[in-house]
Amino acid sequence: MVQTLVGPQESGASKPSSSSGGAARRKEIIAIQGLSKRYRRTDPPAVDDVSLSITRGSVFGLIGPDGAGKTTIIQVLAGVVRPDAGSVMVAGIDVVKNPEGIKPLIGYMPQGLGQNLYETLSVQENILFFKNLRQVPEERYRLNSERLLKMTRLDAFLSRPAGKLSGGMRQKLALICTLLHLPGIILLDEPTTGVDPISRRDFWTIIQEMVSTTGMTVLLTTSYMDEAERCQEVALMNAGRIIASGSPEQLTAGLQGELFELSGPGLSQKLGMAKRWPGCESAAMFGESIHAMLRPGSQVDELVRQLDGAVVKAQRIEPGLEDVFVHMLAADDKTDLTSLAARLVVHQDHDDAPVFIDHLTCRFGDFTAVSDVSLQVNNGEILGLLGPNGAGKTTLIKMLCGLQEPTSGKAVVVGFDIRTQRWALRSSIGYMSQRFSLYGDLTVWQNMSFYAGLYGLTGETARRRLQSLVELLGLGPYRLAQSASLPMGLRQRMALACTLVHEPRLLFLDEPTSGVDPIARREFWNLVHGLATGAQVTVFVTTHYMDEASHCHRLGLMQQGHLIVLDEPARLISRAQEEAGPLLTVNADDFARAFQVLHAAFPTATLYGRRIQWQTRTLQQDQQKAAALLEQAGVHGRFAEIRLGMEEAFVHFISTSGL
Amino acid sequence: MWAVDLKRLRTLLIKEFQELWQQKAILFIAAWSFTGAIYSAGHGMSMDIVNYPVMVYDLSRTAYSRELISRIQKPYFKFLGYVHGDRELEERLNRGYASAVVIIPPEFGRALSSRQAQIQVVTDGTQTQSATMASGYLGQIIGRFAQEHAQANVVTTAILQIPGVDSRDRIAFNPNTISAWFSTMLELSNQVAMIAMLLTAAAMVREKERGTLDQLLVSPMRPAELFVAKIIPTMVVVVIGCAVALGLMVHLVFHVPVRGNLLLFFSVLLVHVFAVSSLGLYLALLANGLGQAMMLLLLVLFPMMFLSGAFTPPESMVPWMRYGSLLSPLRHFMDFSYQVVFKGNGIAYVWKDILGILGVGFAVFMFSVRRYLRLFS
Repeated sequence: MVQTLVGPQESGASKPSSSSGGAARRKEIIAIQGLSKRYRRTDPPAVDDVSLSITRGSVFGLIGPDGAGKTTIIQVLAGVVRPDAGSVMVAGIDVVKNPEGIKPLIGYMPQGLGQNLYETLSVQENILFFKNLRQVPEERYRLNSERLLKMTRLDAFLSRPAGKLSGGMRQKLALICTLLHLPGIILLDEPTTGVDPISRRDFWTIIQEMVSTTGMTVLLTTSYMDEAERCQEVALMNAGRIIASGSPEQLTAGLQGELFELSGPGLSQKLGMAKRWPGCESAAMFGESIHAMLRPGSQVDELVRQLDGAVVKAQRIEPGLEDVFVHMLAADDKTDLTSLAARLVVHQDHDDAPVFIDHLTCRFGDFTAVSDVSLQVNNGEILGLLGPNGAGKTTLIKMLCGLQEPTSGKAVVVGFDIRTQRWALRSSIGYMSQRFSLYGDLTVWQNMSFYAGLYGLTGETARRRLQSLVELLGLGPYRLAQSASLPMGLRQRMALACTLVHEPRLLFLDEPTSGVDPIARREFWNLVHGLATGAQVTVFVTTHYMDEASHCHRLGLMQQGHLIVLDEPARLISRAQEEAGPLLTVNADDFARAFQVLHAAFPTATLYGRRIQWQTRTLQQDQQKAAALLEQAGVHGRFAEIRLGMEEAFVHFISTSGL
Repeated sequence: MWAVDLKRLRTLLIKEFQELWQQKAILFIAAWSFTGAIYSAGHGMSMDIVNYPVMVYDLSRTAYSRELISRIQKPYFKFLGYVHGDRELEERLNRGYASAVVIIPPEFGRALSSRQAQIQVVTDGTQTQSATMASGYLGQIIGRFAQEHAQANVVTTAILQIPGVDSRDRIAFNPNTISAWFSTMLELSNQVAMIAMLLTAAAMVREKERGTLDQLLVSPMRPAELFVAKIIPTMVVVVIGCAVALGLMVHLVFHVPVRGNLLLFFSVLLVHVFAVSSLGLYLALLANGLGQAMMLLLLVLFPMMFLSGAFTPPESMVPWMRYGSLLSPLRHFMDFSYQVVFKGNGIAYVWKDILGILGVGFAVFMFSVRRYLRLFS
């Protein structure tokens, strides 16, 4: 097996492409050598000696947490940021010397939903503006815009102002405007953050279509692993450096050792035990099961024996890019955060359901933000609400916190009516907002003391409570550090500490791990599991990231204000699979050719990284037909059936819900 | 709605002061506003003319004309020399080298002893205010020259008393009409309004931008607690700033006698700052970020300043503006501070202004509170 995990120190010195000569160099469209960029002299470098090579016609992903340096690389390539050192060649043009020269060749979509659009102009006017700006010839414009509008289904909204489109539609329009002049290279900075799954799918269809028909090269950044697996090549970034690169398959295949999913009742108490077992490289909680990465040579049976009977089922699962990330950083903390978390708050002992929602509706004028939602959350449960921006999650949470009066329906939260007892209610809930918004100028201790005082804890009681939180969460060394200067992972922990000061019965977490590196993310979820199962704290999570969904006990999918389905994540996937069939995947060496052939016969087929996949209820027939087609085309393909992902399940439930 | 838990208020206040202490840029602006800005207003915003550049086109070249020219001198004027010819005269004015040219006609010497002598003064009217003053001063100089010359002539020929009026001016409260006295106090009350709005708006916008507001809203904190916690630090900063500005800049540097009751001044100042700060809070709630809040602030501050009566006395405004100016909290405060600081007036004289500050302040406060309470639904 080829070892493809290339560290930054080696990547510059010996590159495989330099030995294979002219052919490889011709295919290379972006070449970065020794790129470094520092924004302020006192800060660590944003990008530190990065070398990258991207081949023409590929979809390349830069993957990493916030602050890893992804955006800086994109901005350097787009010619908007000047690097401190290194050479950057794009299509044979030196970007450092001639940043204007590459602008006609590239399309660039900055971070945020439709940042390049003009809010007050209509869809048509926006497109026309970009046509004139880029001086696209009339003929090409007509062909392109028609096709792109049809693909994105935006042709029905030509006269609607861009500011009135949904997040997903805006992002698709932004993509059209970026693609209009058919650039050879497009640079996309976190293109699908906050976009609903159906728009996301459209978005990827366009990209794959453009890549396979025009040979366009795509470079995108993302902090989410499920997105990364759609790329043909990825580079994992952390702290300004590339820690591994290759195709997703190569990266996961390069992992030595095996990943197992252990399930059984009350397994979260055993996480520490699993972590301490020497044959285990890392372990983390996912829903009610443990994912354990075993070192080469160690046997899973032995681990199961170690956990004395708690494991009911152990099965080998395919590792993902996140596991590669954790492995590369080789920093799995051996502390057992799950059982530690149980000591963060006193055990909550209640009989009544912490959240009881009965036909709750909220309207703003003629817009219905939350439509007839009913659900009940049980003590010690982690309930996730998954949905795109604008699906109604925030409004629902606001109503549950007593910040928004519902139009109709009722809800009782931790025993208090949300209409009449909102002040009492607020004293018994904890809320952690997106991006862990704390006072960045204040120290960790000042922040925590503030939240203690806000909930009525002062003097010696407060001091003792904060002291124990700081110690348990390992924040001791950072007590006097300015909180803005801490890395995201620690900031997130401090934010959690602040929301736990008053030992709430119910925790609201709003996109709790967005932008955090995978290790901190796992540690955070381990803590949350401990709080839920160990201390019976109820956790209510809202997110638009599919990745976070797998951590919940139960998951509700929201779309346009409706709660369209609510069940355990695994059951949701099984149900979707029963109703719509599993995924058939084809791996072929010449995946571009294979995609062309198969896409013609199976219109729903999509290119997912290097594999082609589509959902089908007639698996056998499809496989036979596809095999025949590939043989005709002279391409060798390997077929496999795989389980649906959460995203496919979500798309299925939306399309059958009639919304 | 107006319940306040004192312990929680204390927690909020501690946090506000800790945050304010970290906002070095804001603190610097506040420090500058109450020292440097006052100082530069005292010197720069002077209404007096000093070193006004004057040239002379002397066609008579007599002892009389030289005598007259020698009177055009510092500190008001700076004599820059002669021009020779109409073209040069125009050129000098166009270039702005000279701001006024005195033209003395060829028959000036003869005319002076026999009949009415004429002199022309051409002034650069682009700087309207100083042009008016310069031509006034020049007129006075020429007038006095003519009077003395006539007296001298009359005295030598016949001993006769020329009838005339001798007016002795006494200006109360600012006997030397030092404009710095006026402009420093004007600047001080402008800065009070600006800093009161800026500090509060910045503190609230920060909370909004960082998302910490959401976190506060879901806590048991009461609306009044946050409102008060946002305004008290501003009041403290403004009071300290005013004390420094009055004591150091106004009194020590510009020697303005502070005659009034300081307790009265600072008590009313607190009420004024509370009202203006709540307006700042309101602007912060409207804005989507610090930049936008600052634009809104300027949008509010300038009309407030122009309507305050400091630049144009309310009496010379068009009627609708004159009544409109009553809505500007600055008008009442400025009137109040002049009366107290310069005249040493007590409540018996300034109660109307205090009533105005209370009335407008209460209206502004209620207006802001209504928007603020919407946060809490």
